[in-house]
Amino acid sequence: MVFWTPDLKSDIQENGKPFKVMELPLVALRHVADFWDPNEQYQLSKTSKKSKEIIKSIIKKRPSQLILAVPSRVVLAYSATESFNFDVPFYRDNMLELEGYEGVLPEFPDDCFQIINDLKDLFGSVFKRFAFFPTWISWEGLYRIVDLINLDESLPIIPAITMNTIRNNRMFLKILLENLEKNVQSFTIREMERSQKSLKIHHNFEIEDLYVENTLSLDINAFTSLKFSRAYLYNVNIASEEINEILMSWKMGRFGDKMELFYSKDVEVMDLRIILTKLYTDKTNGPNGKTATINIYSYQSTNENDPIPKESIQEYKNSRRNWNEIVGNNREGPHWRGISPDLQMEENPLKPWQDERAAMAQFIFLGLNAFMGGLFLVATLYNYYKDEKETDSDISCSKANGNVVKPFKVMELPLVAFQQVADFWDPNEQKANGNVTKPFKVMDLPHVAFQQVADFWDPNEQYQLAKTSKKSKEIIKSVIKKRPSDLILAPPSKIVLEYSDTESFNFRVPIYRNQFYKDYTPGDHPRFSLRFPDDCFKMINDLKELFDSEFKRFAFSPNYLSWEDLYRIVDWINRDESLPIIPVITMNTIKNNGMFLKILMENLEKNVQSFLIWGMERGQKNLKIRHNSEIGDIVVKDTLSFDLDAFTSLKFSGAYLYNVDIQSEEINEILMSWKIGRFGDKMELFYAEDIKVIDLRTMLNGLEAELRDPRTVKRNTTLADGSPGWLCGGIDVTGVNGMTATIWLYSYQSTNEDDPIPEDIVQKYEEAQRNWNRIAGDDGDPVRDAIVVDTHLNITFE
Amino acid sequence: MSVEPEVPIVQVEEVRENPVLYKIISSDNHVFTISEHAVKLSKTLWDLITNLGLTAENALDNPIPVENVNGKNMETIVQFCERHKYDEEEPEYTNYIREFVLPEWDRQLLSIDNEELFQLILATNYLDIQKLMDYCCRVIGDMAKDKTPEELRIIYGIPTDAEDDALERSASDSPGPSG
Repeated sequence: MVFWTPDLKSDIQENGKPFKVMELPLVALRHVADFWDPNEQYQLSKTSKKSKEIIKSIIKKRPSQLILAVPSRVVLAYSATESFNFDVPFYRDNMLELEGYEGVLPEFPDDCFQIINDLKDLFGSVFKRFAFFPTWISWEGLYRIVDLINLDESLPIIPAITMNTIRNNRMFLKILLENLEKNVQSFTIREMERSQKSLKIHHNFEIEDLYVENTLSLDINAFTSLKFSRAYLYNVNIASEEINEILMSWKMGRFGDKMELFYSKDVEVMDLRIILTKLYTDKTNGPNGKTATINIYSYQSTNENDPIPKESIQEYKNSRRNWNEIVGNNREGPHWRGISPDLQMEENPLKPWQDERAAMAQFIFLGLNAFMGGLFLVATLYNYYKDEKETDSDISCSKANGNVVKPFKVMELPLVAFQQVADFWDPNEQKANGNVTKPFKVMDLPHVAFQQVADFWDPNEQYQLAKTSKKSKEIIKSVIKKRPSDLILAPPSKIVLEYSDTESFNFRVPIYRNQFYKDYTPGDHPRFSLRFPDDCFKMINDLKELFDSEFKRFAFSPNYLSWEDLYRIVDWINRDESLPIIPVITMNTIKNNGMFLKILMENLEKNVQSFLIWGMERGQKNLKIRHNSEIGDIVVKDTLSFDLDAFTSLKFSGAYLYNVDIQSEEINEILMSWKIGRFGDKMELFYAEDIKVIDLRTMLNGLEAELRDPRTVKRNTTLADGSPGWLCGGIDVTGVNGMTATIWLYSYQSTNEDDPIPEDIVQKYEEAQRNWNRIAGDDGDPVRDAIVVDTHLNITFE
Repeated sequence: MSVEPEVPIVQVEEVRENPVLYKIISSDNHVFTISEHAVKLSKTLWDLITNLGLTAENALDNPIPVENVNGKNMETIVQFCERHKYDEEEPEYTNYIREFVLPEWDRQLLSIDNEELFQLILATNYLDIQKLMDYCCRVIGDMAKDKTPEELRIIYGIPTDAEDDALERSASDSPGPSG
């Protein structure tokens, strides 16, 4: 979008009146249109609906395809050599910019699709391909695009997806595949490299042809968790062990039912013994009765009755004779066999991918050493303006001409920059500018005096000073008055040193913006430099050391932390040996951001003692979380529409819900989930406060619940105040693993086992027992006793 | 950048209102007269006066030599002590981070060159004047407000690790007193 200033407008209309091109006779307009390229035609079509219709009618239609090079470009391709780029406009969120974060761009995927639809309409093009560049698009941006792809009814199937290197970026592939709901005809991945962590991908759609290209160390874990019909590997360094793993995976039923072909070109050497380890027959049978046939010792012919060449028969006979030696264990050395299959992948008629990559990459080299160059310029400018000032006649002359040169206020530069500017001055200039280089050597003060100065520094100032040198750090450490304190990391940019509820200090993690990304990519990726999570953790370690603090909590704010940054932080947490267990995680509202929780939990490898979520709100999509770490207590607060899917896929010991709008149906779903073995074995407690009404019939539906007599059934338990006591009676539900869930309704809690049960409790129990089938079952009309008005619900599991 | 402090000259009357006066000689032989209440702010000087047995009668005849403090600093110290001689004793601070309002008069008095301020602190430390020490330290502490480590390095003249290492190496390489 171009905003014309009045000057620009008058420049454009230099010759006075506009040229009313749309009023030309059709023949003339067609001639004019021949000089417009598709970009100009597209821009013109955007001026009005009428223009669009006119332009559409005069465009010479010919077959063309559209490629969306996510996030910022749409390519209109007529052939492999003739294509036109359309840039997707992007907007920055100024509010977020003000907060110190890169802007997020809610409009951008919509704009991509808008342009695609406009181009389809204008040029009669067919959508061909999504070209993803993991380096250029944030995971949030990817998720939003995938969401739009799912919603786009004009695209029932995706013709092609291409994706650049995913080294150390497999979460990108995971987010793409686990959220995509449409089948893909052709999926090409360049450099599907293995990285430090194994990520399994659970996707529901199907890939027809999977192409993997130019890969040095194939990510076999990701590969074997994909579902496809045919896989083609070109220039992929795949070892016999990996082929064996692929076959074993297939044998175990992975890749889905539709797998037809695995083809790998450029395999240099294969060791059949390794490939066939544990498969050891000439035909490898899968669990579904299917057969995988390896095209070695075989002959391919056009017709069934074509004669088999003698060499092939001889080769087969030799192999048959030595079969045990080839694949068995009864010989000393391995039997090496080289193959070079001749199956060729069909050449893609459009080859713009390389070009797109080159186009994306051409911006990479920017402004090296710009800072020092800038300083030199500032110094030169200063000297220039100084000379100007000294030459009165020049000034008067320039004033007379109206060209007053504004002085460069060097004294207003930041101190560090000023000091560096001063380094360019000669000693006389330095002297003339006063106290530039005379520091107050605070570290040289006597200890008593230094201690007193240090008393005036707050922890932030002490920390900044400790960073100046190792020696300063030791000195500062020795004068800090130590007292118990906790550290809270609120990524991406804040660490809190907390002495008490009322006394805490914030430490800002320095943010390094990548100017290139800031100016070019439409998104928030990456918001910070590659060093950013390291900086966070380094700061934590420094603060721990300096103030003898304990690490207490991670405070995540999904709105301020990109998924990539979250992933990198989680990776850091996993690797940090000084943190064997995570004391507390808190997380702000996760409405429509269940992926944040998913990325966090599915990648975390350490147990969490307490996990507090404010506003665990349901999003548009159901997201199941498969996590291996264990949560001690999960606390959910202030939630209007509880995300039950996410909740029931977590593993925890205790759950506490405060001010969560939870209905009897949802409690029933929680109990059903527990009954079928979710939540893990360690679940002990579910507690919900601020429940207004419980409908027992709904809550106990399908659970085969039993009412217990408070006079006879007594269990050792922990009472609400934390003291040991007895639970008498209650409603029991039995789980598949033989465990029992006890709902603390129609029950009595006592301190001692022999405490008498109050008469009203017994009466309530007896009445409920009489009507139990009408309360918990579906016999007859529900009775009043099926409705419980209470403020809280307690369920224990043992 | 140095600002000339607008320190009011100590009024003679103010000094004279106290009948007991003491004379102090700085390292560069400047002589200062200071009242009894003012001199009591310096623990070192008052201990010395007590130990020497100086009285109202013989005080002016026995000037006290202070060889560690030059005339310029002594002038500042005398001005400060005369200004604050009747101040109430401040309670011991209990907070972990010290905070108090630095009076404008004292801020002006201490708006001096960093090198002078450093020497003044050394003198104050030697003379053990707690209040002046607090004020000086407050001024120095304030220099760190909202500064980055690089800025602090410049403000406080802190060598880098490399410079520290080089200094240490040269110290260990240099011949000792014997050699």
